[in-house]
Amino acid sequence: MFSSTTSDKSSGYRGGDAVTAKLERHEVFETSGPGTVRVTTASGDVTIGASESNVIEVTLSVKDPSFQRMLDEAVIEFDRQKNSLVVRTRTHENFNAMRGFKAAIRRSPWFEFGGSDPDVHIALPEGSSVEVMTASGDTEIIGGLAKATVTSASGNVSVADEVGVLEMKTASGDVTTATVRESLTCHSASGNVRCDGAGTITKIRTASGSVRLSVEVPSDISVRTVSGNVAVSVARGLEVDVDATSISGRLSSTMPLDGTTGGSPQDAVSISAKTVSGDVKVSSAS
Amino acid sequence: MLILELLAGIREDFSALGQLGGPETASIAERLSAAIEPSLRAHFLEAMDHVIQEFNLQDSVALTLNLEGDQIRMNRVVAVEGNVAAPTPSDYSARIALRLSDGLKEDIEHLATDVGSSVNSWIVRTLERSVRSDPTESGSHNPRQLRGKGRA
Repeated sequence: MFSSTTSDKSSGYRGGDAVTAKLERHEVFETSGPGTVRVTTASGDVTIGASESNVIEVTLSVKDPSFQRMLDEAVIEFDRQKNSLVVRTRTHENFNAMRGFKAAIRRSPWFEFGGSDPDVHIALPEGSSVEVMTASGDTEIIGGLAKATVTSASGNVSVADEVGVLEMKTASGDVTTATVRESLTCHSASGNVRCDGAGTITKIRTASGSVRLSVEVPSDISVRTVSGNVAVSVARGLEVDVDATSISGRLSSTMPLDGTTGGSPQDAVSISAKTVSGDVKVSSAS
Repeated sequence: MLILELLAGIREDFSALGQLGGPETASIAERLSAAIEPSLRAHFLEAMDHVIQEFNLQDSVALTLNLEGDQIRMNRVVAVEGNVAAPTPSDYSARIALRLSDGLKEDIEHLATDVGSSVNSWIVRTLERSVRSDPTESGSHNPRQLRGKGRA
């Protein structure tokens, strides 16, 4: 089943003629279960909401009626066989038609297009996988997903609920996430990274971004930063095996590390942290 | 060094390659080159980090990587020993005769000169650091390593 609607939520009076502009494009697709979604946008915010349902709902919205053509030009393609959805808020044609596009790219230190992209809201079944590529738009993920991959230049990334696998690449965007059950991989230049529940494997690389992790299960954590600080909070009762080095940063632990635990390595939280000038702090959760 | 200049060079090269495949490929290359820029930036900084960490493992003069906006700078780390009391002349009464290679002696002389110190003072400071450091010590100020097992 497929349905598509556009809503007229804006009207105004300009030069004697009434102008009505649609501000939303809404499409619904029936699925046979969790699917995959791929979203590509430049400046639009992306919101992903997972819940117990068998439909994927896509809503594109613009705040300014002058950008309503972006709603029509956006690509929304659903492959019923693969349960796969693709959303692109800029097509090949309108991408190139933008005046001054190349000049803007050369001038700008980042991937910036002027903030006219539609916002993207997708509701989908729990257990789905999503891939989001954005330049300056923020990404927010709510509800349980099997896997989320987000590539962002300056947009922030927020994951509110537990996710199986999380892969992030961001330049200056901050990453905040709830529990990551299996693996968290994050590459960041200056963005900060916060995870409130590191899973089995965590691998984080940042230049100047700070890293803050909470650990409640045995896990393998590897963090590398240049000047970013690293703080790891471990749930009480868990064994820890720390290997931290820094050139000029301060290293500290609130727990004695005298090697007397005697537990198996699989049951421990293994923390490997290396910085150049960032501080590293390992602590027990309060 | 400006990261932006480095990335702009890579982007231009990438775009030029894309133009070899015609307008459509050129357009794709243009978009890809812009989209990949954050990743390039992160990898470049990571590579710089590896270089500096390797350098610091092999050389007694440590370097740090500082980011100021888009500007990346390398600076030497000047040792600050605020918690070590300055030795008085009487503290230097003991003597140890050292036998060492000419090459090592020259290296020490160069390093001492670099930090504006006498060879004797440089050796004493280096020995003091080695004697005081404890790799498994936790909660201490500014150790270079923090290693060990414990329970939270």
